[in-house]
Amino acid sequence: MSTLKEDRDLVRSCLEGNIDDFRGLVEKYQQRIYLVVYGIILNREQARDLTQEVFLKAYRSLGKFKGNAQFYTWLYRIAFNLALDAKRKIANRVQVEYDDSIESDNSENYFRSRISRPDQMALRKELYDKIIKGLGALSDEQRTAIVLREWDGHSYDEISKIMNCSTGTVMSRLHYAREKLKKEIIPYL
Amino acid sequence: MKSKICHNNEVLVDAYYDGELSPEESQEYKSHLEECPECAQSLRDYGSISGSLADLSRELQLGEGISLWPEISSRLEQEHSVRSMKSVGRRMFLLRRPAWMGLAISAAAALILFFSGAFQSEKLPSNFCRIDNISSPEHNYMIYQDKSDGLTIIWIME
Repeated sequence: MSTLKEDRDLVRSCLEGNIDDFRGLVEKYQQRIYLVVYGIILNREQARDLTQEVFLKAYRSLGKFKGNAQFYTWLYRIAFNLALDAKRKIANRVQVEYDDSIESDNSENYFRSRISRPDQMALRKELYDKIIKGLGALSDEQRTAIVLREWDGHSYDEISKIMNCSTGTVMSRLHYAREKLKKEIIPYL
Repeated sequence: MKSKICHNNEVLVDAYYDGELSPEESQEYKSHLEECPECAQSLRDYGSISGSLADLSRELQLGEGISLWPEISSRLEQEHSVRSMKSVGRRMFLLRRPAWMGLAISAAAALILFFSGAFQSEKLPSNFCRIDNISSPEHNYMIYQDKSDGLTIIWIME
């Protein structure tokens, strides 16, 4: 069964009142939505909470889902808008909180690194710090575009639908995001 | 030194890297890469960035076997039961309202009819028919209903 049909069947079943069928959709997309949300707000705890909110909002709005769009594109739009809203609220609350969240996320126990040698682990952690710092230096739109492309393999057309912009804008956001990341990451590779 | 093809359109390298060019455009850009070290270097850098981002994404995963479903399902069930309670409450209210309103209208009508002297003659208006009769040692309760609008009155006789 194709993903598209499978998703539509699950959505239809949920609309008929079978809450348990929503589980299939949650478990299918939770990892991908979580990464996209993390990519926007750069905080694991908040990303996890927000991912739940994305699915709850999607469930409450299932009746508004038009079958002519792909379910995941619709779901990503909800994730993108919720994460962006949350990010702006956080930024408005405390201007410096953003950097604090990166710091707290980068604690020694944060990365489940599979590297056992301490020197390698330290190097890897330093690189991850640089990548996260680099991602943090991008605009929200550039970061979302790069995350959707690099972490989730979306096409320009899909990204443009999720972010509600033209494919030309997507291309431009990706270009400037990569140019900035180049400066931040390449010297450490 | 950048050539015309990339100087005029910097984002081409991204489109090529992401596989967004048509086969013809892609072939043309591939030829361009052979003579443009800057674009070739950009491509290599993009590959390194992708690799690093992919490594980071693996570290950031929620974790194998972790499901957000239990928390989501519990929130959905809570919302569902609150909605159900609200809906039951609405139904009960709808059931109660006509009975309460009917009683009030009946009482008001009975008072009007009583004070207007309609029952002084111990005769009912012709549009009323008796639907029940309850007797006690002191009183006789006769329940009448208006055939046209269902208005109910209780006539108490000593």
